[in-house]
Amino acid sequence: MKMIILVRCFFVLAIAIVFVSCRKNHTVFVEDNDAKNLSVFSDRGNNVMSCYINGSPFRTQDRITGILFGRSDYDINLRKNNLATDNDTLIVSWFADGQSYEHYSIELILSVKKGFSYTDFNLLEGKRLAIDGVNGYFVLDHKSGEKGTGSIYFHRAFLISNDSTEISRFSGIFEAMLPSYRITKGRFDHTLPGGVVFF
Amino acid sequence: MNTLKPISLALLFLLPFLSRSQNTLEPYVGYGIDLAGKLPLSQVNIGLQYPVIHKSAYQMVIGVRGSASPYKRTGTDVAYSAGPGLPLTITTSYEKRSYSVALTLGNRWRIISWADKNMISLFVNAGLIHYRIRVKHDDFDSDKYTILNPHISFKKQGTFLGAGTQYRRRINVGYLFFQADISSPPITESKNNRYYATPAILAINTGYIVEFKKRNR
Repeated sequence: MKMIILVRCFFVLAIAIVFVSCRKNHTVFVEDNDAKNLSVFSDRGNNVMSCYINGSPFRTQDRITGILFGRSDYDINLRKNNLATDNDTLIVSWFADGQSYEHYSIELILSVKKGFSYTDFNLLEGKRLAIDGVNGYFVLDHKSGEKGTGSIYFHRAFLISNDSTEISRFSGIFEAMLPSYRITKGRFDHTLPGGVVFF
Repeated sequence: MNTLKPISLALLFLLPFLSRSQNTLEPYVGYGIDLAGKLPLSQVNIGLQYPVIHKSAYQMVIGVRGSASPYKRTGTDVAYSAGPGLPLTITTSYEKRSYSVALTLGNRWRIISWADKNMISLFVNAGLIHYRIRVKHDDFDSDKYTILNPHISFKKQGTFLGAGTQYRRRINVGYLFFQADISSPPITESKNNRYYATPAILAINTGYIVEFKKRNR
């Protein structure tokens, strides 16, 4: 009898492990022939951002979604801060895995109009912005001392509600100058499912 | 190196057969097109086949084939700059060439022969292929500009299956032959396949069967 219980426990445990360990990688990294260790600039939903920070390559962690209790890792998230009275703040955060690189995140903080919506986000598509420290700034590793200026081009900026059959996409290129660091050849290409958009 | 290991093992396995010194070599040249149509590819082929087992109506054939695109494919890519003082886009031209090398192991059966001069055979084969697409862009300022969805150089290795037919006709010494075969797309991991589809090649080749030792029938 004890043996039967043990065998059943073993099967339950094995099934639980299988479910917990089921994870899917949504990132495609294709190296750019013109920029060693960086991904190509694409708009195909490769779910990766890469750049050089002081000449050293940096890339976001793979986007991995877990099934049931499986852990999910995300390369990007977009959120909005609406605490100010006269404008909102769009925050785009890119994450590395925290072990492979000296740095673990790059953020773009962008001042946007009050009540910033998906429609307003979509108006960014095709726009190139100078990030001058007033309308926004780049920040490295959430360090307030590492805020910098730069520029960004949004090739795709398309957000749509999750119940649509269309896919939300976000891609472009950027560069930034921070007090101690220079970010060059930044390129990003993401799909934006509900798990990465928080506004 | 990992690709070479199975090839070396296969050759080692075939050595006992090779040492029996069969009596024909089959060099050929030809032309191939991509039937999958996803990749604008045509190629010229040069190859060599060698029957390692020769029975009355059956042959096991090993072969090596090299292929290359006869001319460059050209096109343009668009590059973007994040720099506010620069034009947003520029175009840059590229040239693309493709190459491949394949090792095959096949089985060939004689189907029909007539007038003691003509023979038609069918064959199936499997092999290893290494193919490469080399892309070269014209000079552009890659510090300030980044190409969107660039055509990129590309290398793949994989296994493939093929089948075809051969017609041979005896001439004074040896045989003249024509063969048509189709190869499956290489079975490879698909990481880059959204950039390049793997080709399925229809090849038409002609060659000459050199007899270098009389067989005792």
